[in-house]
Amino acid sequence: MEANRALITLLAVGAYLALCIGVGLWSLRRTKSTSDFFVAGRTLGMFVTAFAIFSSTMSGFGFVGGPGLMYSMGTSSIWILGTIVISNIIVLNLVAKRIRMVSELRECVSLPDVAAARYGKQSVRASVAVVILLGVLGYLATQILAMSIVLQGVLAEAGVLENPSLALCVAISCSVLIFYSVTGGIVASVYTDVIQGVIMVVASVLVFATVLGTFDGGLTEISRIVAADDRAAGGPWGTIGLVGGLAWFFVFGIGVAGQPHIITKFMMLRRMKELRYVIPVGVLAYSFAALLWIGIGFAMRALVITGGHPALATPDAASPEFLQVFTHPLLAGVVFAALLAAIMSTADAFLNIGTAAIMHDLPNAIRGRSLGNELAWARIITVLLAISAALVALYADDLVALLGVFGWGTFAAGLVPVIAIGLNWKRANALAANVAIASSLLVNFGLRSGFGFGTVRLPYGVDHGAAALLVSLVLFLSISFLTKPDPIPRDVERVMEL
Amino acid sequence: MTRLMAVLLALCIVLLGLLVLAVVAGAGRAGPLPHPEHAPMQVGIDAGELGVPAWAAYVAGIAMLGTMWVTMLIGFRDGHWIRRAVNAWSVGYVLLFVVLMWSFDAYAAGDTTVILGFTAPTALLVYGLTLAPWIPLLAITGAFESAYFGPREQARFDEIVAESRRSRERRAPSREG
Repeated sequence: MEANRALITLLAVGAYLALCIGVGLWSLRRTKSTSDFFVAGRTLGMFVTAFAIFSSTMSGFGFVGGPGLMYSMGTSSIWILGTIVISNIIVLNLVAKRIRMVSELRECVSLPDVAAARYGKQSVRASVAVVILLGVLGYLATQILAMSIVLQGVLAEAGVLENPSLALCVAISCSVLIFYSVTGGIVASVYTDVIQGVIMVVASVLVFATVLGTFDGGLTEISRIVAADDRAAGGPWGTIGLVGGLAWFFVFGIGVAGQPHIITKFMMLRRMKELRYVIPVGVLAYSFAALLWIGIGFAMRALVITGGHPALATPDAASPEFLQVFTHPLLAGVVFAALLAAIMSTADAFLNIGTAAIMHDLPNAIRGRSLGNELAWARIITVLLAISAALVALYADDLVALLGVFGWGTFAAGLVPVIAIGLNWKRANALAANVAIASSLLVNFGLRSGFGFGTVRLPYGVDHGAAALLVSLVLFLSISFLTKPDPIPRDVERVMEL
Repeated sequence: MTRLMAVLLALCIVLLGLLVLAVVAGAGRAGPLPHPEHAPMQVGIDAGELGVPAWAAYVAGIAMLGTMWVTMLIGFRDGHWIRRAVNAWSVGYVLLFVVLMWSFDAYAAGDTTVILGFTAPTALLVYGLTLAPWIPLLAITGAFESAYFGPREQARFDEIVAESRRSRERRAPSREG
């Protein structure tokens, strides 16, 4: 079986891609309106919603970037994982109920729709749409690049093609993504998310069991090796340090309430009462998936320190290397499929909300009405957006890197005050919302690009997103306190009182 | 709600103030270094403390947990027992953070205790700060209908939706006319 490792991986990835195409065809008949395309006609049950949220959150970062952080920085990134439960309580309390109610009340199909309903101003709809579009382009390009690199590795290992080009792999992976996203819209996206989520959970548990077997003494021995080599890497903060770890805890803990690919899923839930179990089920799935993040990264660090494996060229190689060298070929095949699944589930979510911003929200904000025949336009824009992101991924790697890291922090800084706080607090007004969004863009881009002079390094390794979130929260709350509240549409106000 | 928002604003001002203070003072310039043998792996300095003053670490940590406490309280019905339960749990959560800090002091001084696969302070992070929020999450799930959204709210919501639709339908023909 070891001799056929590459072939098994290729077959697993091929089977997964075929499954995605199948789900796309199945959901074609279930997508008859714009509401079906963007919010699944508000018909999703508890389990599907929970897994759609978990899969969209996990992304390729959880399977590649996360273990890479554990490898390079030791325990630092546990501060990101440490927010899994508390951040979801915050999402439940701040956003889930309100967003679900307002979206049904006003038949909203997107987050900017909800913002327009809450503030009664098209300027807020436009601001939210712009911030989503900028973040989406970066995230989507990053995800497309990641899935193409994974596919390139799988094809090259299997010897199907000699040196497959990145452009070819972008074309193959994007074709599948576009196919099921165009045919089935969000319906295909969420049902593939369920398959992707189940694969991720099973794969993570099995990989963690493999990790425990890499050293006699399991995780205890791994921790001893890492801490003996470097006290910081085995301590609670890792190499990023005390304040840097806390800053991650803050921006990932509260910031999740502003991630559009996550919070829009609540708009799709069939019944309000199903919210009760959505969060616990999603959190449980995420907790299992986190085992892979911690396990692979920490084990690879210990393996390299003890000479059990050569030093890695890049931290992101931790996951693929571990799978190729230390796991059973069948498990490696499943995990590579899971990796692709994690990336694609995030990509399709961004594709959907980006499409809504372009063909629904910006026309509404500018012309006061949607485009005619929205469903047809939704499908056309989905194709064009995916192709644009693919071109950015292939030919503007500097931009991909900047937009990719810019995404989470900007969404957190821009949308936590405007959506999460705004849907709960009647004093919040449109001026405060627009200023908060402008500041989130300015602070994030400014700190990360240094306005052309290079990235600004904040003291003690504080994340730029945390600084941007603090600035936007202070501005949003201060302006709302100091200026007169806008009148809120009566029906929305009554819903905010529930 | 306004009181909670005032508390949130105050906590954010404290955190932003600390950050500005550090920038102005030129503090916190030191960072992780490349591993001497296995770069791009990194090594930290001061066991990960990076020279941050202890008072600043406590203030920053407690203020961050405070922002989470405030945002967790929003959404529950006024006067419901779950609010008091979340308040009590939050105090315990802050204490857990303080214990982690003490445990880190011992670790930085050379303690090598490993608990359930992690060094002692890291175990407090993994099994304490990460998993402790399951307590309020399960409490919220249990008290969902009385604390968060029950049949009474559903009925009221249905009524608002129906009224809103009727009102929109009334407006639509009159505009057409």
